[in-house]
Amino acid sequence: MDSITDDLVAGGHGDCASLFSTVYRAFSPAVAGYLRAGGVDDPEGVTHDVFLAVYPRLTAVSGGAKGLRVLIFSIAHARLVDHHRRRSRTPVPMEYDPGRDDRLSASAEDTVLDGNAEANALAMLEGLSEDHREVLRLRIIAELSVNDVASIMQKSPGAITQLQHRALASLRKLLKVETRVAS
Amino acid sequence: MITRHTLRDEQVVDELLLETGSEDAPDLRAALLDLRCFVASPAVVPSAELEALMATGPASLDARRRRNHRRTAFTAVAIAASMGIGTAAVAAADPGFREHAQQAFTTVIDAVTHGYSGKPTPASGPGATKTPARVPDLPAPAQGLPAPAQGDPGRSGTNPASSPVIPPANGTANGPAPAVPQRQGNHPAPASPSFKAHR
Repeated sequence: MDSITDDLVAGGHGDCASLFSTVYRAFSPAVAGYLRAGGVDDPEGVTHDVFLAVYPRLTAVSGGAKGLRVLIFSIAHARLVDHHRRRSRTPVPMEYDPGRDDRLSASAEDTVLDGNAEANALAMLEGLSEDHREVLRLRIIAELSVNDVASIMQKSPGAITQLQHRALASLRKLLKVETRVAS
Repeated sequence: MITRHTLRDEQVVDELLLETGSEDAPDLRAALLDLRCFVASPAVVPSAELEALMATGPASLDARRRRNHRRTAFTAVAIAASMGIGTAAVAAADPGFREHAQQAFTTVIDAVTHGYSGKPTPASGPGATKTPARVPDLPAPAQGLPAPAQGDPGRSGTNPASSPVIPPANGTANGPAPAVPQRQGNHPAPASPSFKAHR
C-alpha cells in the first residue's frame, strides 16, 4: 500500500485506468483480508464489488492517499454491514459437513497449538461484541485513525476511543482465561 | 506455522497499544499481530469487469455509453418502422379496414371541427344521391302550409327580393326535385319560418 502516494492520487485524475489498476493491486489484499476477518462468505466477490464501487469515485477523491484509503474501507465496511444484515434475514441452508462443524473443532487450546495466526485471530474476535470487533478490524487491518473510524462507524471519536479501550480490555480477559485453561 | 511480521505491522499494533495505555501486554500484542496477518492476504484476481476497467480509461467508457445510446435509438426507430410496415400491409390487404379507418378519421375530424371539416357525409345507401354538405337557410315549405309572409318580423333585415327562389317540394315542376336537406353532424335542424309564423 506504500505505492499509493498523495501525488499519485492527485496526478491520476487524468489517467483513471492506470490509477485504478495500481489502487486495486495495492488495496485488494487488505480489503479481502478485512472482509474475511469480518466473516464474509465470499470475500473475493465482495472485494470485486467494493472496487467496482470505488472506480466511479476515484477521480473525485480528496485528501490524497489517506482520503483514498478512507473511501475504500468505508465502502468495504458498508458491504460488510450489508452482508451481515442479509445473512441475518435469510439464513443460508447448507449441507452438513462434519469437517466444517465449528462445534466439533477445536477448543481455544487446540487453535493456539495449531499455530494458524488467522484462525487464532478469528477465535479471538469471536469472544468480542460486534462493535469491538469492527473497531479492531478498522484500526489494525485498515490502518485507519480514530477520527476515520468514527466517521465510518458514524460515531464520535470519543465513542471510538472508549470502544477500543473496552475491546482491548475484553481481549485481555479472554487471553487470561485461555492461558489459565491451557495451564 | 511461524508468521513473520513486518515492521509496519508492529508499528500499527504498537500505536494502538500506546493509545490505549496497554504497551506492557505482550499477549495482547501477539493477538493483535495475529489479526494483522489478514493484511497479507493473497492477491485477489480481478474479475473480467474490473479487468476491463483497468484496461480502458474513462474516455472509452464514455464512448461505450454513447454506443449504447445510439444502439437504443436505432432499436426504437427499427421497431417504429416495422410497426408502420405491418399496419400498411394490413391496410393494403383488407379493404374493409380502409373503409373503417376512413370513417373513423372522418368521425374524429368532424368531432374536432364541429362538422366544418368540409368533407361530404358518406351516403347511407348505395343508390342514394349525394347531397350538399351545407344546408340551405330556408327549406322548402311543406305542401299545404302557407308561404312565408313578405317582411316576416322574424327575419328582419333580410331583403325579400334577394331571398332565394325555392322550388316546390312536391316535385311538380319540370326539373327534378331537389334533395331534402338532411341534418348533419351536430347542426340543429333549421327552424321553419312558416312554422314560426303560425306560432
